[in-house]
Amino acid sequence: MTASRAWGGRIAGVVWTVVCVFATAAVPIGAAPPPVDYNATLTVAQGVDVPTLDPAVSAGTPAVTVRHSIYEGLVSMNDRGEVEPALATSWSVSADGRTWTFHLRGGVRFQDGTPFDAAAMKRSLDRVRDPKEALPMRNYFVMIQTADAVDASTLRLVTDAPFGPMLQHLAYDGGAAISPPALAKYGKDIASHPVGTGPYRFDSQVPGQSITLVRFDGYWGGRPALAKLVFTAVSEDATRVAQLESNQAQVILNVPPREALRLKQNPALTIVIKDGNRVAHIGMNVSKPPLSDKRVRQALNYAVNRRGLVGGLLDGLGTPSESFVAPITWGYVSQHLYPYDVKKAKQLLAEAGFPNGFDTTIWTPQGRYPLDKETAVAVQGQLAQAGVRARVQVIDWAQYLTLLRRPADQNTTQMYLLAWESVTGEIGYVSRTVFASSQWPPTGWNTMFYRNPRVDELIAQGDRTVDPRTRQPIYTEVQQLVVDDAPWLFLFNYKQAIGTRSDVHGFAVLPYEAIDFRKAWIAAK
Amino acid sequence: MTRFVVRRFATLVPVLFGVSLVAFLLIHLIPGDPAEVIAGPGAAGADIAQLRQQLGLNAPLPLQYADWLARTSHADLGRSLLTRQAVLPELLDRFGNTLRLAVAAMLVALALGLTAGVVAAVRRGTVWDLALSLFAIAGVSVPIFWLGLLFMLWFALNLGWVPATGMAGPETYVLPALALGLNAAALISRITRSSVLEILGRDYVRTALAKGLSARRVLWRHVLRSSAVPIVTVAALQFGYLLGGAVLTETVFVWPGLGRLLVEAIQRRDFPVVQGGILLIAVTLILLNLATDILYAVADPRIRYQ
Repeated sequence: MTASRAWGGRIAGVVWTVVCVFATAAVPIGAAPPPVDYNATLTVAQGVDVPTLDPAVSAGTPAVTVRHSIYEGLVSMNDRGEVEPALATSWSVSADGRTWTFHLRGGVRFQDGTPFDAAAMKRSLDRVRDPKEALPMRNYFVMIQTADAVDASTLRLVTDAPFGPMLQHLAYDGGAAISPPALAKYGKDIASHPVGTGPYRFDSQVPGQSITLVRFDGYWGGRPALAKLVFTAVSEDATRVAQLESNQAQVILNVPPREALRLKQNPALTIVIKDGNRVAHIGMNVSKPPLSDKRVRQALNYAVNRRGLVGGLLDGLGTPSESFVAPITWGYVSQHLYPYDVKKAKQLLAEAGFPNGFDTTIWTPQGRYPLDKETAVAVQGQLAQAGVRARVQVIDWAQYLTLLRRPADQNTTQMYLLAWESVTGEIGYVSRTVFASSQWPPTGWNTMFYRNPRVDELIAQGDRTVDPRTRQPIYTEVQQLVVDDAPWLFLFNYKQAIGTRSDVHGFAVLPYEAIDFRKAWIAAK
Repeated sequence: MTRFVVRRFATLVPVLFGVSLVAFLLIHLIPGDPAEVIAGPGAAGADIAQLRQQLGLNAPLPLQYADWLARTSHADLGRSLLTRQAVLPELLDRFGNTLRLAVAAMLVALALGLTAGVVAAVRRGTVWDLALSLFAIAGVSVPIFWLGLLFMLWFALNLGWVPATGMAGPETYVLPALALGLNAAALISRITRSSVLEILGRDYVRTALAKGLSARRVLWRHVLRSSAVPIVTVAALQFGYLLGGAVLTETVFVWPGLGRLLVEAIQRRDFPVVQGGILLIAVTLILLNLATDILYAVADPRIRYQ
């Protein structure tokens, strides 16, 4: 098993290189690829500001997108959600599933010239795991008991128990290698002086406006194609679109659905639409009536027309939910959940003792997710058809978090809109974080106060199972049970729309919404 | 006059103390926990608690306030909870950007507003007056961010005369200054018109005209100066408003000003940034009020402060 995994890593590396060569070219076979403009600057307009460049502080997808070009971890994830080699070229896991040995890439240097080795990797992983540092990404690495540099090019990680999604956790942002001298020099200020091993090094930051990265000539993976990579924060949708049309930005994120249709007509622009793994839903507090009755929760699921929401509200930039994770997330199995059936909804409500429906409140943030408040309002309208009178209450994000994280006895929420995404690209993350009964607030994020002993057992088992083939059936059952218990009113999975100038190539849209610009290039005119 | 200015400065101390208390309480008393926002959904409750402790948010409020006040009196506004950067340099940097835009917008507003107001008053009842009144009503009613987007569409995208967004060379000031300035110009033109009209009807104006002074000289020497007080008041109010950071305009034109910074800080409950920002704006407005009072005295010699 050990040897085959090590080989698996190497083969994956070779395959990835081949895939990259073809993907980066992105031209029909037989046609010569346009020459690369090595003097080009690529400006990317994101919706929100990037407040910190410390990979151990989460701060959202836009920050992850920027850090992707600066930092690398042992492994990374590609746009199909597969883990592939990065600073580790191969790895193996012991028979008991607790000891992971990573063989590190040689000849890698940090952007400050420091050589990368096992001790440097250990330093970064020790930092993010240190409880005293109180770094928000610690949660992703608590399973690691010890990290040891066996020699300069071998790192050994021992976990407290076998941990299935180990590689996916290491592939996520928090597992990045940070230059040890830079950490010693800057301490907490590493957030504004990032030094990693990635293809672009940090140049400057104008707070609230832009972050400029420049080509790192010492990159192990060959000469990066762009001279400069600039990330700007442009919150107004119309402004981002104007920047793309006037070529002030060459890539814009979160193109509004209606604009996407219009921009497609412009030959100078390309609109890339990709499935994401963020799942919009309305959580239901199952600890209090009437939502403590499973029939009521199922009735609400029957009362909502998911297809209608995707078509009418998102203009097709989404897919109706078929589970609590999106199809692109590892472990997903479609549950063919609750067809739209108002009659059935009314019948279930009557059975549960609510023939005339009931009054409730749907809490929602505004501007946190695409069309979040609008979604709550649309659901309000659909629930009314089944006799459920919902009031939509908009609340600002900080207050929302406090409201949701109140313990069960103080928690007065009934229904609330959220959109979880499996940032590690696999189903274990959302299962553990949201559906395990050990995660009731204030400990964790099971804000529905959902408890099913079988689900708890399966989630624990899934975490301890390393072999993906054995892991899958466990999560298939978790999905069946959760969908049947219906602690969520399932809605839809978002798609992402990215607008680019047509001469921009080679970037990858990752399943967790971040964009990987490491291999991006602009065609020479 | 000197005594007046000194006295006004002395009253600043209790006012600033009050402002600091309000700034502190406002952001601390609304619900929302910075540690939860920074950690984000998915973080463990224990880690959030540890972060809260590390950020010093568990200390009693009076203690936090005293600590902040002590540091503020030494011109240290602390560090942002999220970015861990010093607050004061960032606030001053953003304030500088806001100030530049406000001055540019004020120049537009004064040039257009005064001209339009005087012309409307002198040509009272004519087509000119009507057209300028329409302009003023439109200027006050049209939302600034919408006007900004329209300008961007016309002048940046269709005509390509100026960049759509950002803050760099003088050309980047044109669109945001126009969008902000037109709104202020509309108000100033209305006040100018009514103020000039009132003075035009005075006896001494008729006398001045009767003794053979040219209409232009009467307008400049006798009318405009006498009608200055209400115009200065409105212009100063508008300027104060612009200095608070025009959030929507800054958002549309991606202008790195104080308004956007504060809105983001409030959303994230970044206490030190919000407190420092409110304090900075308050100090600016107080100084601006003082300057306005002094300008009254310059404009109207009858005004004397005892």
